[in-house]
Amino acid sequence: MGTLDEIKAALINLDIPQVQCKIHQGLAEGLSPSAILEKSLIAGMNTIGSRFKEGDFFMPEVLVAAKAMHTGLDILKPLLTAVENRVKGTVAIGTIKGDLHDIGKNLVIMMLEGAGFEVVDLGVDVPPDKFITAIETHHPRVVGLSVLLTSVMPQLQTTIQQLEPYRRELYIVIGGAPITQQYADKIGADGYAPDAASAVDKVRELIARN
Amino acid sequence: MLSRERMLMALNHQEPDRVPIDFGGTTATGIQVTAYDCLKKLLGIETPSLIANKRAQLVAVEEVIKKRLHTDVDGIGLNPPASLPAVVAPPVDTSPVNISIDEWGGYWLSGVSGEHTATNPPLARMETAAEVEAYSFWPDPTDPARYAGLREKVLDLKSHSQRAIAFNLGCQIASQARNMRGYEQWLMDFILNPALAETIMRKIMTIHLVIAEQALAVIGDQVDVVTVADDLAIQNAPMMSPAVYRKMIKPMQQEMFGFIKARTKAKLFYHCCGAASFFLDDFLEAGIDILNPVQVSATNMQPEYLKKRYGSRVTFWGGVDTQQLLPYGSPQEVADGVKRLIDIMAPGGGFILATVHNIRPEVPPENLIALFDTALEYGRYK
Repeated sequence: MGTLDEIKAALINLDIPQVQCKIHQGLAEGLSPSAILEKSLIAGMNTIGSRFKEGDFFMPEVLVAAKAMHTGLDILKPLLTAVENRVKGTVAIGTIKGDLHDIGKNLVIMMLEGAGFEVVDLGVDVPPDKFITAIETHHPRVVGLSVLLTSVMPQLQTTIQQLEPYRRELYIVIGGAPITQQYADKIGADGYAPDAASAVDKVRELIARN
Repeated sequence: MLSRERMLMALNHQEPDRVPIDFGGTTATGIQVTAYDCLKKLLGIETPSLIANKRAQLVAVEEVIKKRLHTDVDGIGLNPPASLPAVVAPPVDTSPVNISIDEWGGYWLSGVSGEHTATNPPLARMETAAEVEAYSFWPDPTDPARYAGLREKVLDLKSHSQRAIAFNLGCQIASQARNMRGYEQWLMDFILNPALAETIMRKIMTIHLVIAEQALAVIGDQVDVVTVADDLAIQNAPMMSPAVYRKMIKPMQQEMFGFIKARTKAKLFYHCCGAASFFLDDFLEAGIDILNPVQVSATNMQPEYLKKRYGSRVTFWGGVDTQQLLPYGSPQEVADGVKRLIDIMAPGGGFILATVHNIRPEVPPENLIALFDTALEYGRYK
């Protein structure tokens, strides 16, 4: 097994010290930081995501893998060139106004970061204005709206309506326990995903459209 | 048939005269104050509503409503410890987000519609068992205020109500640890620091055991159901792997459930939201008699599947969907949904009809009337 594969394996084994150790080893061997990022860390997080979707991994495994990924990124980021540091795209995400729940949103953020996206976390109880400010500041390709409470679901539609002037520049993805594809279609969202790993697939698919 | 008799038959997997109904008998089958006031308006009842749970904005359901909705369960809970304000207070709070502290030293954000979430977890930065043990705000389970007048309250309730009595004990181990440690950190502990996860949960359980012992010594012989809770699943999966659950949480559940059942003949009601069926065999081995809330919209929680596979071994308490049907269905759709649920769940007993979640402000009162009137009429056993 080459060092790139060993780093990936350490990530999938949720072994944080081993991820750090093997990245240092790889750099000493002359591996490029961008190769380690793509072929070890992002590839490893892809595997974690697949196993989460398949019901083989659960929330604790995803959270620890994301922590391992971030530990690796801390080593690699200063070594990447400006071009290599250019991210795959920015996603702004928040739990909508009236809802204070954040575990689902946080999992999506970790999976997106694990896939190489830049994520702007707007927190919980986010009013439409705050999404608009984030759009004007960060120019995200995708905006993610998270919700848990059924009582707050109408606020999704309100938020989407207020983001209408920006719809040509970005896609809106929604998610959360009470949401279905049917509901997403009904309120005019561009995408929906049933879990955090699928959310990454959806964001990739939307960005690939143009 | 008396309510209590009806409940006991259903809980013993026999068919009484009709499917028993619970509305507001437990801390997981209640109603938020705005929804309650709309219901009362529709029924032409003009009395001030009393908040029983400020954080979730749940009301103390009045006798006139209990009668109108044909509920078969009265709920009773422990008093708060001496250092907290009284539980029942008028609904005066109108600020959008409040911050409150609970008896474990945990902070909560909450809003007027009863949405709430734990914040600033007090054990977040701890790394050793000694730090956990030295935490300043572990509750005193022996505080006599918790148990003061409890037996008199139950006896008084029994003297003028013929309903079954559910004693809401709570005893959350995993959820309490989650609130005190922080959701993400608590989950990561299972992999990165299992010894600390174990220490925190065991400390919490030790406190619960003292509370359970003292409370059941006072009223264990008088109640029909004891309710405990611990959310271990999300919409489409368990929160943690079966291996982690079985190694770290199940042994404590077995110990605590056994402890409770040694001190009362009441049936043990266990609340676990979400896709609970992944662990249902384990919950049964740990000693539960009743599963709540039967979140039928979650993965592997279809009523047909549950009744067929587990119907003879567990009583299902809940089942009326609160994610789609109740808030967004028409009264006719609610009635049809309740009929379907009864068709599947009622045969052979072992079913108490209730909503899957506390009823929240978006639920139209017409849907509640359709729900409970259909349950009364259609729930009759032939």
